[in-house]
Amino acid sequence: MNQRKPTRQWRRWHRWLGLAVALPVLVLSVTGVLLNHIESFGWSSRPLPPLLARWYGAPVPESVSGIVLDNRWYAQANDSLFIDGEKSLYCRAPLRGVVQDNGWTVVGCADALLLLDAQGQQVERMGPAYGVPAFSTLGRNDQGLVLKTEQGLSQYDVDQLASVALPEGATWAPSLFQALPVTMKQRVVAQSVPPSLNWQRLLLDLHAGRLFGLAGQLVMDLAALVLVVLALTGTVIWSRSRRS
Amino acid sequence: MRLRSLRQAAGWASLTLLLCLSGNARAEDVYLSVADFMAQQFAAVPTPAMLWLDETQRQQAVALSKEDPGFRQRYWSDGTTSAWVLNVIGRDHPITLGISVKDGRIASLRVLIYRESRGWEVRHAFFTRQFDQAQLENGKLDRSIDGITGATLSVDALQRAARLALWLDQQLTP
Repeated sequence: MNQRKPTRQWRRWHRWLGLAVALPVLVLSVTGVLLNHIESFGWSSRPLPPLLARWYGAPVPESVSGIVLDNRWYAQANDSLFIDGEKSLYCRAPLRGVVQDNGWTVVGCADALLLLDAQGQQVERMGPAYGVPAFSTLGRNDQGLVLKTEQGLSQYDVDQLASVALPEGATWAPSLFQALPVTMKQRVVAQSVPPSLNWQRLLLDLHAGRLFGLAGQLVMDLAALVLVVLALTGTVIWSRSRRS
Repeated sequence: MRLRSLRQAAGWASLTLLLCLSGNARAEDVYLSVADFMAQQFAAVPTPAMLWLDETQRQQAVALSKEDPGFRQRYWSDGTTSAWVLNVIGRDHPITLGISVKDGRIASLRVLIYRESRGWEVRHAFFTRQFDQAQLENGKLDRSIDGITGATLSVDALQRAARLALWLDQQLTP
């Protein structure tokens, strides 16, 4: 009788500890099995949906505006230029404008000018290193490309990399931004998710508890330690019940 | 008591916001201007010229350097020396480099603008000196370049840029 009472206590501890860590252990086990065979899952390397990626903290835009020029849409998201919804070239935010100049398409990305041919392929990239002045907006007048800088409007020659100040009140047409068509916006947003933010990464972070920050990591650590304790208490209970 | 908790919450929120912002901050370090780099390479800086590449050449350049130079590339040239300003992607952002080539060998390679969040050690002379006198041999540099721990992608980017500059210089000679 004296021997059975402590066994009951072991059992009680075993039961309550098991119940306390049931959920994290379930997550640990399921994600662990999935991660063990991750190479065989085709979906594991697919990027996360935009909503999940945004929750993760990735800079995935909610709304994207663009510029339409010669029946082509130009938009910028996550350091990339999108032409008709397709990711094409490196382009830092913000998009300053898109115009036609001398047969080329000139795209203003942050502090750089991107020269594209009729197929949207890169002809040249010019930045501050080449002496391109800091500009806030890009547009055109009868003569060609116009940059709006802190000093005012400048006529800019992309071949000579030379600018000529325009008189105050000179007429010009800045690039106009419009809301992207819904389906194109969805394509741009979906492609803005960094490729490294995929389902495998989600499973790994879920397995390690990192998905819920430091608290999540500590809960998973605790669950793993309690699993060790459960193994010990289970062994003790098994050996005692065998003796009795 | 409620005021204290509110202040605490506001404090944590500000700290979190600060950490988030500092995490997203992207430094753009300008180490040398193009004008200064060119002044170091030439006694009298020549007017830049334009090298046009056709589709085949462009594809060759991409195969050699994994970097698209576009259809035209500006360069400065005097005698047997040519100098190039190239942008190569390190991890996420372009690194702007000034590279001069003399008699088919690299005379100088300098980091002009660095935009990545880590790996900036490649700008130091102890690293860029390794490229001095390097030349192309079967599409590769004729020497091995020692890496820098934690700057693998930037080291790779500089090697690709060196190959591209040497290849571009070869396109100048008919």
